[in-house]
Amino acid sequence: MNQPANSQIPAMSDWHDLIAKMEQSINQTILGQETIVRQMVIATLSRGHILLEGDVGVGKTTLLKTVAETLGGNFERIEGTIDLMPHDLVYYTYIAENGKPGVSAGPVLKHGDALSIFFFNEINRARPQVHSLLLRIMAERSVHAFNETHYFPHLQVFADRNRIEKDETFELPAAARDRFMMELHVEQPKAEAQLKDLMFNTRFHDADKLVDSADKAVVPYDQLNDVAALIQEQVKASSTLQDYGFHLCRALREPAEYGIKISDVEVDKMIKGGMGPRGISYLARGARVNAWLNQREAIIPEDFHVILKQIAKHRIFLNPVYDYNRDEIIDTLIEAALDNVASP
Amino acid sequence: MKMRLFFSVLAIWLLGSGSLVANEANAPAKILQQDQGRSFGVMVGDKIHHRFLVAVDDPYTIIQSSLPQPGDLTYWLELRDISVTSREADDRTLYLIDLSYQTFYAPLDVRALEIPAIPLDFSAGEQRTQLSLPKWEFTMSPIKEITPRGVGHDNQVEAFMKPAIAPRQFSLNELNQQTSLLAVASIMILLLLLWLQGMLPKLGLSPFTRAAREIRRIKRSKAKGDDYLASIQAVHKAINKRADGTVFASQLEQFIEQFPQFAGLKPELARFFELSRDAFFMDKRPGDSVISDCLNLCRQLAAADKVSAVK
Repeated sequence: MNQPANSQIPAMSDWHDLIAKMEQSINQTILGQETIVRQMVIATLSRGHILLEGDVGVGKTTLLKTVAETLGGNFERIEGTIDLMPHDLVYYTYIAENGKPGVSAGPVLKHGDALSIFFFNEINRARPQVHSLLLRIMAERSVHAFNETHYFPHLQVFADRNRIEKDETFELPAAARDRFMMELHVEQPKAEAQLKDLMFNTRFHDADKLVDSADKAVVPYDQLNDVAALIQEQVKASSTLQDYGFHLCRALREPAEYGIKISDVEVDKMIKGGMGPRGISYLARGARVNAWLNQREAIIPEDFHVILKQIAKHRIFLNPVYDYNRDEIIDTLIEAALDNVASP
Repeated sequence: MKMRLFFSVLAIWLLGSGSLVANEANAPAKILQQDQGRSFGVMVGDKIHHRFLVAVDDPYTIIQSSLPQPGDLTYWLELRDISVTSREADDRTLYLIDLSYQTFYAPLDVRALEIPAIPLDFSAGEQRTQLSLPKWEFTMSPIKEITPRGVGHDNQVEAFMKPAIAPRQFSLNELNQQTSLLAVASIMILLLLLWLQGMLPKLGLSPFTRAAREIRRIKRSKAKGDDYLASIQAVHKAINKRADGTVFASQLEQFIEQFPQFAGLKPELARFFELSRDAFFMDKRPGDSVISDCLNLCRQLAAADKVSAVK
């Protein structure tokens, strides 16, 4: 393990406080999304990208902006539109003062390696060409422009998509979805008091002011990579737990072997594709982070349960026959796997 | 002249007889086969079966009212039953006619008798044709001597009496077998029904009793190393079996909610889950009493389970 170069890095015990402060700050700004916030923290500490999905006006964008603000670092956002092209992300073209066309660095390149959050709004409105560039940025954290390769070591991609409208949208390909560590489903808060607060409290009327009110740069973004690596190093996974993780992933791929039954579904012919190595690795990383957040030295099965659905759901592909009822079948499958795979 | 007349009469006669033969062969209804059985040695009370296979060209069909009605035909002959079955074959209809007679004639010597012919009518629209099932002549025999044995015997009625025939023994084995098979099948169906209705008492051991047994076996075998892990695992298996699904430490509340009989053991269960977590995931070695503790917990759980089963 390489010790972080920055000598002012807070000790690991202080990081618990920092993360707690960050969560508290976000939860004060965004009401009733404690679970989603916790999962975003897990993804951030696992250095995974996040795709947010949900109804219109539930606060996806505000949530992402708030998280970006509390993480600090340079933040860029771009709106997905049907005429957006890959070079719009990399280059900025304009007419210079001397009347000649000029080209300078676009949103992705502008901040160099200090870019910490790239926020892609309405990702499914952009064309596949843009998705493809984004895939490279996400998987390799680098992009080639101006005849050289630029690296973004601290980059984390947040994206959101609206699941109601399907017109003039481009569904993300399986490969693109697999690069997002988690797909989080944002719903509006259920508690009456919170809804009343959101309805009448003037604090929530202006989203920009609201985001502005959150504590800024609570967590030093440029140390997140090191902290994430340290967490992975420190939290243990016993052999019993490794068995459990293996069987849990296998049950999602070969449910028939584990005696899982789903009504009206031929279980042995149901799955077309499941979690690949990237997915299962994200699951283990997320579990370690959850264990660390709960001040545990080792992973326990419950650490998987917290994030299994968010990590596994968008990576499971069903036989087209069952695609009409995809959400319900996959939820049932994941619950059945949790119920049927025993540990210890 | 005389010769001409003779020849013309001969010609007419030949022609007529020829056409008569042709008429019989071309008649729409014919008897193809008949079986009347033995025509001698028939005794009083015997049943006589006659069977005729009759073919009728299409579109003729039998007129049902031309069939004789079962009942007394004469004072000694009864038609007990008549059955007619028909089958279409090529361009004709085949009728299989079964007649069952019973004779009550008590002859004193061999006597010739006759079952009369039965005329059958067939119709095809306006057209009619007739076929006669032939009469049947047979002889009946007496069943007793004219006079009792020994001339001068005075008791006439007694003299003809014969000892009663001893009752015949029928084997009931097959019926017995069928009855017992039926009884076993009905009991099994009844049990299945009760089981499906959930009305059977919970048979078998509580999973905790079984786990306790396993832990005792582990304790006896005194295997070194992972024996305490096996004991903890046995308890987990029993809990999972009772819940019919995996119970993790975080689901203890739900488990207790689902099985309130274990509510009294909640602290023990919580301690057990913590101990199991330490042993399996934190690689911490628990105290020496862990196997006994597991055994005790199993016994307590089994006892709680039993009480609720009795209720």
